[in-house]
Amino acid sequence: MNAHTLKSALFLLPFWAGMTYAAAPANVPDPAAPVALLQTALVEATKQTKVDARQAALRTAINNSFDLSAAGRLILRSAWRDLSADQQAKFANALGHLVAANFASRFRPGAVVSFSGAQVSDLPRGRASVRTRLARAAGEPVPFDYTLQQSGEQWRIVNLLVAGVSDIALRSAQYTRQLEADGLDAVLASMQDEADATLLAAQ
Amino acid sequence: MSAPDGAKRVRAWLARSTTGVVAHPWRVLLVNLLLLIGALAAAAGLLRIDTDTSAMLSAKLDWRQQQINLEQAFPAYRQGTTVLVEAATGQRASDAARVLLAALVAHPLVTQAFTAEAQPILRRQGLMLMPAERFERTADALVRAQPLLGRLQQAPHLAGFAELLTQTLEQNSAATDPVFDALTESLQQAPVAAVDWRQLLGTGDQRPQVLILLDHPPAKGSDVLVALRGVIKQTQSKHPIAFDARLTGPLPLRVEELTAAADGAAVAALLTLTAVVILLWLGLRSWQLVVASVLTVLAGLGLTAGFAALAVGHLNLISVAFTALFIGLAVDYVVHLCMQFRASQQAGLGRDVAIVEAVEQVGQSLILCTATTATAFFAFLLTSYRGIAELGLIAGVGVIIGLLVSLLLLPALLRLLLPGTPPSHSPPPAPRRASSAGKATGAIRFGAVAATLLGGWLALDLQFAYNPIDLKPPHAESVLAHTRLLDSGDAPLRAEVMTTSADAPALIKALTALDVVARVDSAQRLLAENPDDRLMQIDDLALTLGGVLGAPLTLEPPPDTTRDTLEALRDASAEKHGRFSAALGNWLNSNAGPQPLHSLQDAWLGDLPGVLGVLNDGLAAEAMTWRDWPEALRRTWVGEQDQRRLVVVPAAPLNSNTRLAEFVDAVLAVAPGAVGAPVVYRKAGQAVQRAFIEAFSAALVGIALLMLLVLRNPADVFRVLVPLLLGSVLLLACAAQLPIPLNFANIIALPLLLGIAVDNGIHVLLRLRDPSAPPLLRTATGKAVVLSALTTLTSFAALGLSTHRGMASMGQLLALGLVICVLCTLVVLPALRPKLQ
Repeated sequence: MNAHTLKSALFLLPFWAGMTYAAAPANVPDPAAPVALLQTALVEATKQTKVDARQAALRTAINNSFDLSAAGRLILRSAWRDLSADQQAKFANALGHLVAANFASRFRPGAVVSFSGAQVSDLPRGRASVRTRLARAAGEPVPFDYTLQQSGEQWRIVNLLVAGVSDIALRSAQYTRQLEADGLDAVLASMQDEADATLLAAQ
Repeated sequence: MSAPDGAKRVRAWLARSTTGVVAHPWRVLLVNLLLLIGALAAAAGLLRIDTDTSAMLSAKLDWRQQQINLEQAFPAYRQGTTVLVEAATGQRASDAARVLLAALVAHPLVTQAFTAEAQPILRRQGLMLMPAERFERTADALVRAQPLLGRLQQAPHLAGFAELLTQTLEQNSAATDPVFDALTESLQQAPVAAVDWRQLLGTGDQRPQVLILLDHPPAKGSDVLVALRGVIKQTQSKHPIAFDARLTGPLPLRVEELTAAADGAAVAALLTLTAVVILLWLGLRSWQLVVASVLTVLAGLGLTAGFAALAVGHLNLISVAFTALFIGLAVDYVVHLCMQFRASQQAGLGRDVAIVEAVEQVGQSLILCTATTATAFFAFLLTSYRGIAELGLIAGVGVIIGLLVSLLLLPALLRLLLPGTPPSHSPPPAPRRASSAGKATGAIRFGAVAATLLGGWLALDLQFAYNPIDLKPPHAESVLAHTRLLDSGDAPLRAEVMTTSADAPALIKALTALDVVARVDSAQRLLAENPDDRLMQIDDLALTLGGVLGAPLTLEPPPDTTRDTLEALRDASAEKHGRFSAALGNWLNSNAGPQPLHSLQDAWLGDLPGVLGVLNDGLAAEAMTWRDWPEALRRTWVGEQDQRRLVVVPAAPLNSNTRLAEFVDAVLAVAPGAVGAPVVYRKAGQAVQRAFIEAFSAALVGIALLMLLVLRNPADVFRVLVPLLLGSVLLLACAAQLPIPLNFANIIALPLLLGIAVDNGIHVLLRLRDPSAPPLLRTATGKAVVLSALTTLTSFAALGLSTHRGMASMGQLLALGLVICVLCTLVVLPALRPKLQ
C-alpha cells in the first residue's frame, strides 16, 4: 500500500469542481476546534491560486491542528521507540510536509466544497472522534472522520479517515516495511519525493 | 497315589452324590432352576458396568488422593460433557457455538454451560491477553487490511467488495495479496468455500472449532447424551450456517465405551456359544450331550452373574471378561465329564452307571482343577488394583459354581435327556503301547530351556499402553472428537498442579523451563503481562484503525450491479492474479441468476460482521485486576482457600506412550504432586503393572502350595508349573514382538491363563500317572484337553473381535496365550516325566 492510495481514497471522483465554504459552527466542544481550524484552512486553500502558497498556509494549519509526533508514533509503531528524538522530529516534520502537499494538490482553486456536521464522540481513555462530511458540487458527500487526543491542554488530530480509509493505516503499511528494509533516511527521502511530485502535478 | 485314603474318600463321596442325583434328577433340576431365577433377577436389577479405569485403583494411593483433592478444590465441569463445535471457519464455529449454547442452557438436563466465545469479558480482554508476538502480527494484519475494511463499511456488500478489490489492483498494492489468495482458494472449491477472516486478520481463535463445557445432574448418562444430541440436531436445522457438533469428555467417553464393551461382550458370548455348540457336536457326536453341556454352562453363567451382582454390584473393564472366561472354564469341566461318560458307555456300561463312573473318574481331577484355579483367582484379592481384585472374586467363585453345576446339574440333565441303556458286554479296547515320545524328551527339554531364554530376551521389548483412550472403540464419536482435540493442540491431556499462591511463581518458572512443556497456564492467564503497555498498544491500534472499524458491520444484499462489478474485477485481476481471475471467470460462467451471488457473498464476507464485532469489543479492553474477573472464571484458577491451580500444557500432543511417559516423568520431577489425566494414566499404569506382578506371583505360589498339598509330590508340581511358566514367557515374547502392548484390560491375560492352563496340566499329569495309559492324545483326557482348549479358544477369539480395543486385545492375548500354554503342556509336560519317575 502506498500514499497514492490516499490520493485515490481522498478523491475517488473529481468532486472539487465548484467548492463552496461553510464555516465551522461557533461554540463547538473542544475536540472539534482543531478540526474546524483545519477545515477552514482547507476551504480557504481553494481561494489561493498558487500551489506553494496553498501548501505553506496548510502547513501552518496542520502544525496547529495535528499532533504529528503522535501520528508518527502510530505510523511507525514499535519502530518509533528505536528512533532518536532527532529522528522522530525529522519524521514528524516530513509527515507534516507531505500531508500539506497532499491537501494542497487536492483542494484546488475554484473547487466548490463545504464541510458539514461535527459529531463528537468519546473514545476510551480520553480520546475522541469527530465525524464530518465533505459536500461537493457533484457526487456523494465524502465522510471525513478524525480521531483526536489531548496534547497538553489542547486537542490535536492524530488520524484522519476519508471514506473509511485510515491515513495512518495506509502510511503505516508502507513505511514500517520500508523502514525495516532500507532505514529512516530512505523513508524520509521517499516522503520528500512524494511531496515534490504531488506539488508538481498540482501546478 | 500319594494320598490314597483322601482320594478314595473323595471318589466314594462323588459316587454317592452322583448316584443320588441320578436317582432324583427332577429335584436337582428344580433346585437349580429356582436358584437360577433368583440369580438372573439379581443380575438384571443390580449389575452395571463401570468403565472408569482410575476408579478401579484404590483411593488410598497418594496420587489418587491428590487427584481427588484437586477435583474437590476446582470442581467445575470435571465429570461433564464437552461439545466440540466445528464449522468452515473459526468465526462461523464461534457464531454457531453461541446459538447452540443458548439452546443447551434452556434444556432441563443441563445445569451449567460455558463457552469462552460467549463470555463478554473474554471477548473484551482478548487483545489484552494475547502473547506479545501474536499481538504484533495481529496488529500488523489489521493495519494492512484497514483500507479495505474501512471502505467496505461504505458499501457493505459483494459489489462494494469487488469494486474495492478492483481499485486496489489499480493502485498496484501488495497489501491485498493474501485476500486474493484466500478468495482463489475459496473459488476452487465447489460449493465456494468460506473465507476465513480470522485467519486473514490474525484475530481471535483461528481454529475452526469451539468448545462448550456442560455439566448435568447425575442422571443416566445415555439419557443426557440423547437429549444433547436432540438439541444439537434441532439447532443445526435452524441455524443458517452449517456446523458440526460432537460430544466428548468424561461422560460421553464413558457411555460410548460402555456401549461398545457391552455390545462386544454380547456378540462375543453369542459367537462363543455357537462355536461351542459346533465344537461339542464334533467332539461328542450326540445332541443330548451337547444340549446337556450347553444348559449346564449357561446355568453356571447365570448363577455367577447373580453372585457378581450381589457381591460386587458392578463389572469393570476387566471383570466383564468373566463371561468369556466362565464359558471357557465351565466348558472344560463338562467336556471332560462327557468324554469320560462316552468312554465308559463305549466300554459297555449302562447309562446310569456310566454317569456315576464318569464323575468318579474325572471328578477328582476336576475338584483339584477348581481348587487351583480358584486359588489363582482369589490371589488377585491381595492386590491394590480393584479391577483385578473384583475379577478374582467373581471368577474364583465362578469356577466353584462351574464345578458344582458340572457335578450336580450335568448328571441330572444326562439322566433326563439320554435313553436308558442296558450294559453291553463288548470288551474294552486293548491298551496300546506307550508312544515313543520318550526318545524325544532330551530334545524337548533342551528346546524348552532355549525357548525360555530366547522368549525372556524377546519379552524385554514389552510395552505398556498407558492411555485408556487407546482401549476405547476407535470410531465412537467421543473418541474421534477427543483425538481431534488432541491433534489441534486443544490438548485434553494436560498435567495439573495444585499449589499455594506463594509457591506458584517459582513452580511456574521451573515447569516452563522443561523441554516437554509448552506453557503453564495459571491465574496469570487472566491477567496481561504488562497491562499498561498493552493498553497503550491497543489504544494506538484503535486510533490507527479509526472509529470506523468499531461501527457494527451489517451486510446488505448484493445489488443489481454485482455481476458487472465481478466481471470488472475478473478483467482487472487477469494480469496480477491470473489464477484468481480464471477461477472467478469459471464461477461467473457456471453460476447464473441472483441466488449464487448471495452464496458467494456469504462465503466471502459472511465472517466479517462477527470478526469485526469481536475486534471492536477487543479494542475497548480495560486494565483489569484480579478482583474484576467474574467469580466463575476466577474459580477455575484460584480455590476457595486461595489454592492455585496450574495447568501444564505439553509441547507436543501426547499421542504416544513414549511421549506421555517423558512428559509425565519430567513434570513429576519438578512438581511431585502433579495430577491430571496423563499423570493418572502413567501412575495407574505403574500401579496396575505392580498389581499384576503381585497377582501373578500370589497365584503361582497359591497353586503350587495347593498342588503340593494334594499331590504330595514336588516333582509333579514342578511338571505342571514348568510348561505354564514357559508358556507365559513365550506369550510375553509374542506380545512384545507382534506387538500387542499390555494395557489396563489385557494385562490380566497372564494370571488368567495361569488359572485356566493349570487345569490342562493337572488332567494330563493325572493321566500320565496311570502306567497302563495309552498315548495321551488317544485317551479321553487327551481329546478332552484339545476339545476344551478349542472351545475356550473360540470364546477368547470372539472377544478379540470386539470394537472395544481393550477387550479385543484381551481376547487376542488370551487366545494366543491359550494356544501357547496348551502346546507347552502337551509337548513339554510328558517330556518331563520319564526322567523324574
